[in-house]
Amino acid sequence: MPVLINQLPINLASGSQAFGPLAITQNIVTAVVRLARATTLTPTLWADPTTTISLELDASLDGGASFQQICALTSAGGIFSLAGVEAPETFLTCSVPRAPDRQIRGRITVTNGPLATLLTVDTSAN
Amino acid sequence: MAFPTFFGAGTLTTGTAAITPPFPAGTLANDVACLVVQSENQAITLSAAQGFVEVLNSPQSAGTAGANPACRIAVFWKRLVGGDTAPTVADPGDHAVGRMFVFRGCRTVGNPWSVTAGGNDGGANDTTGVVPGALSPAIDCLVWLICGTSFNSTSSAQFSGWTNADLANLVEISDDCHTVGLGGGFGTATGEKATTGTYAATTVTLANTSFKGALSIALEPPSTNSIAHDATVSAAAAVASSLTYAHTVSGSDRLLVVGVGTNSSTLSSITYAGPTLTAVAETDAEGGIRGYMQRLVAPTTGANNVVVTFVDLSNITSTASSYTGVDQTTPVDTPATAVSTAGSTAPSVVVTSATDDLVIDAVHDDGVGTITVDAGQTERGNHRGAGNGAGQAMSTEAGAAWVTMSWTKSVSNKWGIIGVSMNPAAAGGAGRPLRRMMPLLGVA
Repeated sequence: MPVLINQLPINLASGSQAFGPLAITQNIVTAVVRLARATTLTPTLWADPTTTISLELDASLDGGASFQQICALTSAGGIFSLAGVEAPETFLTCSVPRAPDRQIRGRITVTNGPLATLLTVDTSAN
Repeated sequence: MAFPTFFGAGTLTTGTAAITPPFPAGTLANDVACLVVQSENQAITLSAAQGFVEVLNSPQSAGTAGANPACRIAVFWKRLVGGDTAPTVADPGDHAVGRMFVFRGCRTVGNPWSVTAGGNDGGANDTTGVVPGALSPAIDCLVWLICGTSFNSTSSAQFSGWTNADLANLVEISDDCHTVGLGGGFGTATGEKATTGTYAATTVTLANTSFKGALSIALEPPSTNSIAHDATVSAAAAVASSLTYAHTVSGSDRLLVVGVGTNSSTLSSITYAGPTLTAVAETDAEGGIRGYMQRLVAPTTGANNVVVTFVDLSNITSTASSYTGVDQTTPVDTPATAVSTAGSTAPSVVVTSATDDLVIDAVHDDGVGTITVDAGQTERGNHRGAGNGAGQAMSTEAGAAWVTMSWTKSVSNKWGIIGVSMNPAAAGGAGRPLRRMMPLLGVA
């Protein structure tokens, strides 16, 4: 799974921050964008439940000449536990349409910031 | 679409014991052979069926069994495969008069008729025959009309004046009466019904006073309907309150089906290009493992977003799959669901469906391990959630009376599965919903 961005620190007041564009190889079928969340061990990351984000992922099938959104999510901060297990990240994953010359880029939009997190973008092949 | 056609009839066969009416020469595979038998209102059965089964609404009868005059007619049918053997009619008691009729260009799967109707002319012993009509849900049917007679003579001129304003090209194709035993026979005619809807009762004049039994059988041409897969896209999110992903829809008579799996919160809504989808079904396998299937008729064409919104932060995996050629009035039938709260490796659900339908299912679990679609199904998305704890997959399989949708998981755990039958768009109009209503209306 080629990692294109590995735990890049993001410190963002309310507003947007883009990442990419990132070229992806022919065999890649899926892109995953990860944002680190607050846990008991990482209490300073995206700790405020009122800090919400919109995470969008775009793809270009023409070498970056044009982009189209392929998936997105909305989420909020704070510790999220499920069955007693704290989730270390919010992530978004979707397939990337096939094309000979592809790129991806993304955008994080923060409301009621600031947001402190770590950004990872990785991909998987078929 | 062309009407089915009458190909030919075998030799009239009569007897006071068992009879075996032959096929006409030159039959082909997929021809529909129909055996008409008349008796003195005594039971008509096949002692060697050879694949023939009785037509719905057969038999019809009037008069006292075994006493002159009395009449019973029965019709048996088979879709020929080539090299077929003619069936044998068991001795009814007094006599049997039988003849094999063959039709070409009928449906090649399931029953060859869109509807049948039967009656006995109110048990009247007179010269006016009435063959009941029916509400046909299909277009371009060849309506075959059969009227029995108890009259004891050897004649080929007992029936005349077949009349039905709802049927075009109404023409008599057989007229047989025989003195075997206490005697009797039947006449048949065909007419064309180009549109869906009701064809009224047909009247026919008999040369002599007679008890009668009558059937009409609307033979349906092969279906040209076909539901086709358009496109499928999957996506997943962890710890999110909404998941959005692009899905491109194209074609006509469109239906979008979206499946959602989660292990945490509950679904609020699904939209596509604005409009909110309609729920098909949902399941709860406990422990947060929930699954949802929703659908949207005539989704906007082009690349638009599926937006899956939850009431709270959740792990979400979703698949959107679109289809063309789907009935826009009644796109799906009643769904079926199954869950395993204790956990197993074999998600499965039995779906009520029909020929020409396409069954779609959505299965969801905790996303651990793999899930493999059954060999008879076509996978339409299989997303294990990338570790978010919510696996979700969809598949389709051709419709039949009962369709089992099943998967094999590599790990035993909780799962839920939803299956539903999609109805094909009716060629020439909204005939398909009428077909669905037939059982409710008490007709075939």
